[in-house]
Amino acid sequence: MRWAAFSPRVIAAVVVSALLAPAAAAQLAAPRAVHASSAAAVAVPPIATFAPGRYAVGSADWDFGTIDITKPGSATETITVQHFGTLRYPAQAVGTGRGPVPKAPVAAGGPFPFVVFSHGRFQEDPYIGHNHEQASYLLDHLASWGFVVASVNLDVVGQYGQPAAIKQRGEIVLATIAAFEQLDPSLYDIDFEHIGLVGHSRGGEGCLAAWKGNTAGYPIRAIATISLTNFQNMSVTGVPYLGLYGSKDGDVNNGWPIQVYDQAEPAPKLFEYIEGANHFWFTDSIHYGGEGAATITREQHHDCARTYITAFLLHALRDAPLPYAELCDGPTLTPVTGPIKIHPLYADPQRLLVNSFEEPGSDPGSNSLGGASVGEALVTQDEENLDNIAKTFYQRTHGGWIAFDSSGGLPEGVAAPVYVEELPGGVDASPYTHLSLNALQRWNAPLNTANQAQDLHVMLVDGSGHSAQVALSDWGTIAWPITHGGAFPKKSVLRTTRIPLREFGQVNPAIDMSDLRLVSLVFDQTPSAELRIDDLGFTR
Amino acid sequence: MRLRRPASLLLVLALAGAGVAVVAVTASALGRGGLGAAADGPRIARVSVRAVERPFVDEDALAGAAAPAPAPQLLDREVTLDGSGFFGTSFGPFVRFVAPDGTSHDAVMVVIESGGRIVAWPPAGLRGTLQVVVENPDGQRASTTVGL
Repeated sequence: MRWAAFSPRVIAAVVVSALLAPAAAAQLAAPRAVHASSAAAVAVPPIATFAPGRYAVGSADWDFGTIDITKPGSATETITVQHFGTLRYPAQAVGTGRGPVPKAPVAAGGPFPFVVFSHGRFQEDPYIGHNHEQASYLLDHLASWGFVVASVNLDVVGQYGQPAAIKQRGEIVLATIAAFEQLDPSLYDIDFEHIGLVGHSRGGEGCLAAWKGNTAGYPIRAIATISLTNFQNMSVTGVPYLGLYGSKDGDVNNGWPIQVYDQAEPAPKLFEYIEGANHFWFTDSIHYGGEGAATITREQHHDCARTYITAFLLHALRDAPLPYAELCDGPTLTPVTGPIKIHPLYADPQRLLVNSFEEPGSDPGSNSLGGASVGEALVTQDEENLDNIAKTFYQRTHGGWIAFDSSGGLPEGVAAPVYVEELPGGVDASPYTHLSLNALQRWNAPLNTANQAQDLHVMLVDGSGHSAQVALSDWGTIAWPITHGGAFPKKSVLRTTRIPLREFGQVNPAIDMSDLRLVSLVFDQTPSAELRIDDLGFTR
Repeated sequence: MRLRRPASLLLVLALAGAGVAVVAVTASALGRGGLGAAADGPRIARVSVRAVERPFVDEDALAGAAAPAPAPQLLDREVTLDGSGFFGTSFGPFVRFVAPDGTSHDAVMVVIESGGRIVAWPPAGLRGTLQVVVENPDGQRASTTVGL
């Protein structure tokens, strides 16, 4: 078969004919093995961060006196605030000290990376002002895995409702790094070449502000946030990023964490949309009745934060042999992803995007590689901005709009609706391990069936016309959107599904991964759907 | 598009007189409540206004890292609300000033000093007798008249 200058119609015809071939029909008819994860693709042993690590945890409250920070709402004035917090560190024995001096000596095995934790805002009367003590579950866990973690008090700017004092939180975070750098190095054996920032809510956005305001050049190598705000519309660039967000968040319920993920540069970036989690149960004990109840327990919130953030920081700060992709769909997550549904997004910086749908001037007929994007028997093939609340989209990205309806039959000679991406000149996918696709179904769209996941086959075709297809549902899902009460109750959120390329090779050993010509989505699993797709490509 | 968490629709209340001191207190029962001391909603017992000249830069108006710094304003009124049940989470409490024609003006700066005191700064130049509305993050609100 020769591939020079095929027309889009011919491309679609190739896929359609492949679908009608006996081998393809046999594939469709064969029972599918459902894979729990891509475990076999992971070449290194995973680290199970669900359980505590091997270190005893020492703790100490610290107070460095006062610092001057920018006055909220002012470009030139400063205010003076107390600079204090609490610390957890790997210790030889459990012990609590006062001041910056530990009671229990630091453990052997250092130096230990430094993490600053920034808490969220909860200004309920009486104003005790100790919200930095509301993440001990996470601080303890991180310390047990070999991190020195300073939780800094940000209630000193908590009175500012508007502006939100985000920049000031960043300044206090940076001041915390500076203060600990001045301590006797033998106290905690801190590795200041590996610094991570973790924050919740306004404190999460404070981490972004610290990153943006890091003129001192501290080697901040990772940022992890939980349900962060986005008052200042910042973007994370040049640093690995992990975001957690609960579908029942009744405080930051406007989708901001989704947008921060979309705006982040993939260095890489990860996002975990946690079904049933709310906002304040990511704290030790704060309960805010105004946000409504979560449908998972507070302990399960803690399990999510502990497992994901620890694994992320182990990779970013301690060079653990753990692929970031493990946090998308890896087996290590099973203790969490077994009882809790988590919908991940993942972007690998070395990925090859076949179609990002981001090219200026919407052109649904071409992809990011310059090839044709062709639909057959589709109701809609278009592109659109997924920042559109009216459609229940909260993203900051563009996506492909694909709709089909085969319930009334298909044109003669068409086995199923298809969407085909041409790979001009052929793509060598052998450096990659997975095909990746982000997808969602629009809430309440007439073509989607309520409370049912959508599914499709992904088909690859090589330069010799060999094809193989794998069901998306073997490796992920396009779930019915999660909803909850209150403001912004309906959210259709993209989810990454990664299909190992070896699966295609198992289906058809003749397929040549070094010369792929077509990637097709075959809509043969449900009678109709209205989907958005994004970032179709090859990844690791 | 910026996605600030929107407040509930305002109740447009009949104006009753002018002046600095509080003349009316209204608490709405529309919110969901359920938060300890604030479960009964906010109450405004007293409002006072003073003229100020306070330079102000809206840090939250920054539209991403590449945006230019917003122009400074000179705020000219400081409104102190004494009462009870005020609280904030990631948002709030929200303070708005509603003109007799129903036009609503968000306070440009809000500081919650305690559960019993909020200080708010209306947009520069806003004058007249208005309703000042305090709304907690859970949607419960209170209002009174204020003369700016």
